[in-house]
Amino acid sequence: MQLSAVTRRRFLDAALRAGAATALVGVDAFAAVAEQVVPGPLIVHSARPQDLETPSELLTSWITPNELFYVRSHFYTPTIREETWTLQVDGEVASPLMLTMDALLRMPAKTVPATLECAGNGRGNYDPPVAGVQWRKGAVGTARWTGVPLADVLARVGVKRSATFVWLDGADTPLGRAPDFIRSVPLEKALRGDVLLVYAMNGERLTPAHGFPVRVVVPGWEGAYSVKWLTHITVSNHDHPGAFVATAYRLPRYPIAPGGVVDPSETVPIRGLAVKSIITAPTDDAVVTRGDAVTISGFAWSGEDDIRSVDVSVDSGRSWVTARLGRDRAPYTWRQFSLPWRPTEPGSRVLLSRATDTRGRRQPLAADWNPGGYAWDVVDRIRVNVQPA
Amino acid sequence: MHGTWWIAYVSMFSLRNIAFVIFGALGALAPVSAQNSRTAEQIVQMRCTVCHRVDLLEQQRLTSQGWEREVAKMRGWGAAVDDSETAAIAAYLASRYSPPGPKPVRVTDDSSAAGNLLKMRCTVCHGTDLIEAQRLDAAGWRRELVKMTGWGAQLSPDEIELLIGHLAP
Repeated sequence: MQLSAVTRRRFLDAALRAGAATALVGVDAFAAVAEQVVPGPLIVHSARPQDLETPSELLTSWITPNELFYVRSHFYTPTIREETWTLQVDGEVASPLMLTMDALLRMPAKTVPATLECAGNGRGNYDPPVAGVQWRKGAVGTARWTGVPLADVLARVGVKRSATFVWLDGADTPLGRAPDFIRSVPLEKALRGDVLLVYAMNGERLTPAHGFPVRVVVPGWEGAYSVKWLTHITVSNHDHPGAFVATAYRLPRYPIAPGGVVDPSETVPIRGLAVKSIITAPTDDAVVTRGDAVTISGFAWSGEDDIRSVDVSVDSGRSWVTARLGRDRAPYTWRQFSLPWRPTEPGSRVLLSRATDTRGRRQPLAADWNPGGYAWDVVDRIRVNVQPA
Repeated sequence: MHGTWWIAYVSMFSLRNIAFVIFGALGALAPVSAQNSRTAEQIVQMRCTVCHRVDLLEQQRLTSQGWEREVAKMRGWGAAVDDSETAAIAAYLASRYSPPGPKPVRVTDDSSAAGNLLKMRCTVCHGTDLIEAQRLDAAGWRRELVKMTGWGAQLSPDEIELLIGHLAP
């Protein structure tokens, strides 16, 4: 990545001021400085590391265009050349393996559409507030992911009977003394044929922000399992002890009082995704005219389960109408929903959406607070101001 | 909340309207130079408590705009507050009795010692955007700053205290 002398010097100045800690940051930090130049229509929550949200009104199609797809990165985007990239597969296996890009591309590929949602999507709604990226609605998107089933790679190395977890590590290097971003997938899930080592997204090679050259996609589970810039798979006989498995991406076993803290031993890992819906049109605080034909639309998803129905209220929840579900559907993906509405009275209206999945799970009316600000799944609400004709 | 205000006000008004007329009028006659040298707190103590006590203020949770409207309403009802005092009182009340929840922080154009410290130490790894997006109270900032020093941020204990005081005043 090319950097101007000025940018490079500015980084060095900052690095010198920081002293020893920066020595650990390493060369990748230079690439990260360039990340400050981004991102078209996306909402920049953090320019470096890159945390970019899709404005929810731009979520209009079942497949999210790549340039609109949200980006969540814990550390700086590494610069990787695919000619020298390798994937190490080892641990509780009969024969460890080192795959090159060519070798991976020669293996049978599969395309799986899947909705990815950041575990922290909606964190900005929690009260009291929780530290972290203050996502609103748009840390979610759906793409067709193409790659090699993780199960096929694991079959090649021969997983031992002792194996219980598959650890996933990427080429991103932690900042300062931060822990490495390593995630751990239970073997049972990893062996399902739809967990992929992905190199293409909606038919195009991955961009660096989305994990070039290879990322994992774990369909139906919160986004952090889908590790980017994958370089190392370790099959293990225990869960990973690192902070991003043992402390983060976990929920209290039971709801706790808002603002409290909870010992990690009293938490469980987030797996799957909650049933959830978001209204993407009209936009919050939109102004419409009495008598207008308005289409209320949005998306609903439920991780590994399918959506059964989405109900919409245009009167603050006093009454509900079942919305029409879009035709596009696939396992692990969201459904579009829409409802025509012709407001007959002027006034400021609260519109709500509530999804139910095929297991009968329904969105709650109020949030259970959690110290990580994860899994915001409350009935979505927007305000629409109806002006007289 | 506004309902409470009205009921409390009306009931007290009838009891205190005599005092209101006397002391309110006295407040209005005080020399301008003396008023300017008073703090907003002193003005509130002097002018508002003629009719009601501070407890009525303390239970409000209003934005700056909300407080401006209230002060304007009270002036209409006879509070002896002049134009120059109105903004100061509204700002003072908004800073103390505002909607719950931490306020967003500004870092980018903050040249205080703490602001400079944030720009120097924290932006080695991430931008000020991430700091400004947080809505944390003092305990939340303490947890974050301790975590960040664990992750390599160069902050002494004194500097952490300085930052907490600045980020969650």
